[in-house]
Amino acid sequence: MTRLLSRRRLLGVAAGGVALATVRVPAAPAASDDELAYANFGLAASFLAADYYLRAAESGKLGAGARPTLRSNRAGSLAQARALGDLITGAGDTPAAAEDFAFAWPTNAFATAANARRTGLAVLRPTLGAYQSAAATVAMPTYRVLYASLGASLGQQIGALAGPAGARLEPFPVAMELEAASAALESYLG
Amino acid sequence: MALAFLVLPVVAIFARVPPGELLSALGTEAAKDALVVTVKTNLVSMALILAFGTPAAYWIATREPRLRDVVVTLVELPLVLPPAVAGIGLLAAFGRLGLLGGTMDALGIDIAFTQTAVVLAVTFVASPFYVRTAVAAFEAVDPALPAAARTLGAGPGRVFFRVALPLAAGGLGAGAALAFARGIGEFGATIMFAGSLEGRTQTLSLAIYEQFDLDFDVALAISALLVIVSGTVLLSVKLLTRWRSGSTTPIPFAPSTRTSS
Amino acid sequence: MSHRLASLVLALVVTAFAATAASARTTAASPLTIYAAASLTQVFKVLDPAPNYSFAGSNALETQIRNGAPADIFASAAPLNTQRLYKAGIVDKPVTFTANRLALIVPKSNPAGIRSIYDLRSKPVKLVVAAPAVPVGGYTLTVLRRMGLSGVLSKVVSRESDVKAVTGKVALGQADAGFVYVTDARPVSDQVTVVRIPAWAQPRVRYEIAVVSKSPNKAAARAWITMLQSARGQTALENAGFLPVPKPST
Repeated sequence: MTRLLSRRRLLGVAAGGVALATVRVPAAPAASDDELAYANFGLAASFLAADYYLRAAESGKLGAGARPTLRSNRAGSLAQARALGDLITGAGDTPAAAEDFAFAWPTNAFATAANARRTGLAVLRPTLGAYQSAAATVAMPTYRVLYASLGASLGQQIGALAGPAGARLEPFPVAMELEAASAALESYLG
Repeated sequence: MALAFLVLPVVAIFARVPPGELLSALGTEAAKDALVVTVKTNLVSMALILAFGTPAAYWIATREPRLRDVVVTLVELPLVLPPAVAGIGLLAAFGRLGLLGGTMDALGIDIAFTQTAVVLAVTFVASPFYVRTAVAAFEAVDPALPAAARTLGAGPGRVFFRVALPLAAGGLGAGAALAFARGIGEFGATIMFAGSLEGRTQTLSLAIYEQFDLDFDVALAISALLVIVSGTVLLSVKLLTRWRSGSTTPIPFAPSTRTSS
Repeated sequence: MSHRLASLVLALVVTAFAATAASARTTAASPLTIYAAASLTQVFKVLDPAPNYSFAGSNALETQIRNGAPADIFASAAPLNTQRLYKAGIVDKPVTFTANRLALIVPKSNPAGIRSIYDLRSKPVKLVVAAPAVPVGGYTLTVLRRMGLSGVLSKVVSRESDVKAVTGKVALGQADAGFVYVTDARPVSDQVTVVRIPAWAQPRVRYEIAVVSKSPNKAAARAWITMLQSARGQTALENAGFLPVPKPST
């Protein structure tokens, strides 16, 4: 019971982190090519995360108590997707929508609690790496703030999933080049 | 009736767009770039055709009849090829995976998608028009005149430059006009072999095709330009031919009437 | 004598024209005339070899139909072309019937050594794309913009008039790389290698089909479109590599 509670608490913290990362981005002058690339990638990754939380909640493997927080994490991911969509629209492009993706999960992705957590980490870690890269390289200050905030949220979500499983947290998570992050998520993004 | 059928499409080009719009449409980047590419590639092509085609035609014309007929038929082959087939032929010969592709690669020659490729395509489809007419023009030269020149001691080179060439000039001019007109209208072989890139390989014909669905007025304007250019060349050569045949045939080596003494 | 000859020739020509004009206006029993995007060449012919097809870039077909070409059905690789004709009252209301994805193809010999789409940025490459007005050309621009690789466009050596021309140049080894649909890579899979474009960069590709308003075979045309949207048509499309039209999520 205590374990369940601490898991719930951690997931709750993560949910809060996701909620805090919901920022409405004002339409800004044309973003550079690279900035848009991170936004497009992040958009897909946010939809992917939302899908993960939906399936994790439905599988029930993370415990019945975790379900509300998983659902609010899903809502938070969708809010992050909306923020990135606004950034893309502001730059004059059309963002992708959730129905444009057909996500592919490995067969046993949600078979056990450990699997479900591992799947979540596999999806969230490259996304965090990409946001770190974005925060470091992107020129526009407003976008840098957004990416840093998204990165922080991802960090909290990773912590929530990793902690109870005993998986070690890195003291200095490494930024991932967009190309590498994209390759890491390729099999999930369909 | 037949005349109307031939003339109507040409007239229609000019009738559809008012001259003012025509000129402004010609000012677009696409039209200007296409004009530059067309002029450059066709001038080079014509130079090649004239430089290599003229001696070749003379050589063919002075062979004995049976050999001459065979060679002329070979030369006329590109004439009967549909332009798309010409394009495939050029790719099969000079493409990267073609017959000469490996050799060209080894020599460091890369003509894929360059203006050189356009020149090659245009030369291939247009040269038969020139060579065929040039052979006929050289054949029409009264053989007595070059023979007379030779008996007077002129070498074969002098015979060619001072006798045969001036006498055949009218026919050569007509052949050149035909070749030029064919060259600037070339489309199928060019797009297959050289591709189409504005400012580099997009000729007037290719530009018309691209502008056709983008801006019909620009397509019309470029078409009108092509008509004017072709018409001008045709007219000038016709005049040239008339002038040449009108003047008396110069007798070689006759003493000049204006002596310095 | 020459007058009679001339009149005879003229009569022949006029008859020939009349005959072709008559055959263009088919009766209900004769085959449909379908103008379709070049990428549909193989799949439509496999699905139904009976109609008279004309395959080209959707923008070129749109212009031809707008200028009175005798098509019964227009199938476009982008909604823009069908919608423009619909707004002009030239076609009936279009329906979406399939989707597709883009791929980067390189010749089997891979002369430029392209292994990932990011290699386009760093290596010298002869890149061939379709002209921007052609649907696949527009989609290519979207892919490059989404990936932050628009600079790669400086390596374009030719802008083709339809996707099959792009495929052809890559398959022949003339070009080092080209952007086509995944469905175009399949028929030439022994001559080209596909370099995957990530899903997050894919544009929304939607094919639309519509009956031409002044077609004399409207009933047959509508029936053909219904067949295309049925299991038979959709299976044929999916077997060729096309994607089912995604349902909008709630």
